[in-house]
Amino acid sequence: MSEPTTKNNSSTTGPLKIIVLGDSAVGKSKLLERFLINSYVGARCSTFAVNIFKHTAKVDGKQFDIEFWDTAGQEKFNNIHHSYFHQADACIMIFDATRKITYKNLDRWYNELRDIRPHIPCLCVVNKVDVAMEVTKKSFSFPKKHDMPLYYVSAADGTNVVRLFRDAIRLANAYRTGDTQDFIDQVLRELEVG
Amino acid sequence: MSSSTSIKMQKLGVRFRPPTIYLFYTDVSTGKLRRRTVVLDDFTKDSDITDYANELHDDKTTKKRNLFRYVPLRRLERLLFVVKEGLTANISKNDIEKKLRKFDELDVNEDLNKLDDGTLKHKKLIMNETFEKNRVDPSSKNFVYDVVVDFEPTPGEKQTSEWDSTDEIEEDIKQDDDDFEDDDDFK
Repeated sequence: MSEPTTKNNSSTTGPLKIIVLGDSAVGKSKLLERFLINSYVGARCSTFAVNIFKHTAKVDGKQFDIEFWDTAGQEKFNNIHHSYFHQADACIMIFDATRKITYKNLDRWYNELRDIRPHIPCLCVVNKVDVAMEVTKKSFSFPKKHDMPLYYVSAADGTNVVRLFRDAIRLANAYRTGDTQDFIDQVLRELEVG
Repeated sequence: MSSSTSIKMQKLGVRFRPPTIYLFYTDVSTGKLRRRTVVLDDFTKDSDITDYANELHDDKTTKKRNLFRYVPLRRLERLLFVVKEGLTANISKNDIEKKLRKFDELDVNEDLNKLDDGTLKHKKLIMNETFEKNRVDPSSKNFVYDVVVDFEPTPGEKQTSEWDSTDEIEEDIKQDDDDFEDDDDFK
């Protein structure tokens, strides 16, 4: 894996930027809402087709300012605005455990992301496992192929949602500080050992 | 006691011209069955059903008098669907029922990215029914913020999802002397 060469297009100060990607109705907003359920969300800035949630979290004893970016309906244009990806530090890619097409479409989302952010860490998520428990016995080639950790989550009952976002914050921070691969390896190991 | 506990919805009815919804309810304090008639003045064939249902449900102007807040959004949506279909001249009850069944369907193979806003909102509302059923929120006794579940593979490796399979099959084959091709074929 090549080192991220992002000194010039990733801001080194300011909040971490974490974006979510995936088809319409896979539960992107629901997952964010579940993670932020107990928090005061500093500013919920809604512009056309983008929702930004500002948040402060303590992970591994360190305080982080984070901006979560949610697409809010840009999916239908088949083309997300570049500013959505601009200076992102990590990306959460989500598909729906009940709809195969949302898994198949991950390739498209991935290509769109990589055109603009070739090196940022990605986390793969299968949501709605509460209604499709059988997927938790399956492995998926998309995350494996791209060296992403896979999370089996449910925004409805909360399964693994907080774990997912904490890992996303860790990875985003690792990307900022330039040691992404070590962290991805560590996160993958933790998920495998369980 | 707030008025919200003194009303029990009984049934709903519609009329096509003019578009009208009837709400039958029992006033628990008096035990009387009552009927509220609401004429939907601005409802047309072009109205967005899901938006309209939301507006009725959350109508702040009528405050406590708003009976629609006792009706689940999905039911309001279905009711408005029937009203809307009813605005088409000469449509039969059968046809409306058929269309309504279709309206309730969720096709898991459909690419929802391609839908217009209104249809997408409607599909999300159908999905939301399941979400609400399984939802554990902070008001629940069972609520835990950080739910960690490790899904252990059944003995052996995890099975590869069938979603990864393609129509093409690629496999190793044994070379059998009998049907080994002759170089001459390529000359």
